[in-house]
Amino acid sequence: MRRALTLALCLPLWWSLLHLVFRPTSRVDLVSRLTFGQQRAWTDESARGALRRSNPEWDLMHRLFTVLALANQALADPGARAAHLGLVDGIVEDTLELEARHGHPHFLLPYAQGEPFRASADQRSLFVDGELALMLAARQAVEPSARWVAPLQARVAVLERAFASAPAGFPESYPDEGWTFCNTVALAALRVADHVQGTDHRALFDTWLARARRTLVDSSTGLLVSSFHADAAPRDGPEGSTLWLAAHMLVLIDPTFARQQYDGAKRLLGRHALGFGWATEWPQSWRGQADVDSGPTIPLVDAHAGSSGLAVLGAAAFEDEAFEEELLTSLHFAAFPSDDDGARRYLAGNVLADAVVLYALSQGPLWTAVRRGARS
Amino acid sequence: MMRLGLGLVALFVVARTLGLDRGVGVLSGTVPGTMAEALAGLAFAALWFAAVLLAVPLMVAGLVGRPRQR
Repeated sequence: MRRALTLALCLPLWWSLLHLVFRPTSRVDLVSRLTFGQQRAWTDESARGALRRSNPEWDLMHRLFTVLALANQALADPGARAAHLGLVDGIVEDTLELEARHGHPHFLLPYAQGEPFRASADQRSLFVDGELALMLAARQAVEPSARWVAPLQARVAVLERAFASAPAGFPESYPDEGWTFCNTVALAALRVADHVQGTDHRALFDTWLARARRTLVDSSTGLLVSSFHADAAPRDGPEGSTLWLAAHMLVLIDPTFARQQYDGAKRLLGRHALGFGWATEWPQSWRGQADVDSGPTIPLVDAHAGSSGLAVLGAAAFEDEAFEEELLTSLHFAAFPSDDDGARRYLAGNVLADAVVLYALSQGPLWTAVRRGARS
Repeated sequence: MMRLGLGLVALFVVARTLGLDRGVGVLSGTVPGTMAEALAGLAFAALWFAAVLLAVPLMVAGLVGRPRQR
């Protein structure tokens, strides 16, 4: 009886103290370990092979988040700029070479070739073109290189055609399938490209925003839906693993709207208890099917790995320090951090998830430079 | 309860030593090398959570409940 009573008292007491054990201590050390982990990942074919086996899209996304993280670090630390840009150039070159060798669908799921795109005459995916454009633009924003001028101009022209030819103004990533994630990445790419090239896509941004407010915002939650048909009819509702990222990208386009999206996402999808934070994928008012992009939901606690990981980016981008700390505490409790000679991996995730966390902790300098019009 | 708490910790240490954590990426939807690796990863995760959440309270309760020497 006494033991049972002691256990009943100890359990909640222990659980209330656990977050102190897993709370991150040194942000600088964590960034350093994650950066080393990503540098190693580029020589680890088995880790990247596992990523590609799971989903070829994750391969491209891993490249994007790694490039963005390193670009931000290069801006923040001029002493490390050459080293970071060396890896960035290697990633960009490898990505473009793979696309040229294997074709545009190389980073797409097989169903991309099952039927034709509705609006894209050259059968191109905004997912691929947007992420490549953002990689190129981010690199050039750190330190322009003649090597990437023409590729960036060409990719920007592709995006311009995509937005112009989409019947409802929202280009497809797959046949008859557009994604808010991909649209906002492409918009951010154009904005960063404007910063680099001295161009101005404000009219395109304003048109997109006006149309999105009319047709892509879910009326029950006020949040952007995650995917839609070519005619902008929604396919899904608001999805965490889209929203956290979209809000961050939209900071460059409309900071007020971006903030509204983050605040709404946090209110409806953010969870926290006993010093731990996590995110679910769908609001209560819209429970959708599991999406192959974002992984499973852990039952009982309704924690979604993809949404929780990207929530770190959202919290960091909107300077929500309390939620960011709770999310990182959960990461260190539930994602199995592993250090190998100073290289950090989170074993419950994959190298893409690690790159997302690294980008979350590194972001800031690039978006600030673009918004201020400052050039290095 | 003391034995149960220690047992959970011991099982986790064994699982870690055997490298069962290799398949824990299945929690994020990452395709593991084999089904066995995925199942091992799930088992590893279950042992980890059980050990972290229960071992210390069990051991404390076990200590409190030990009969005193006369």
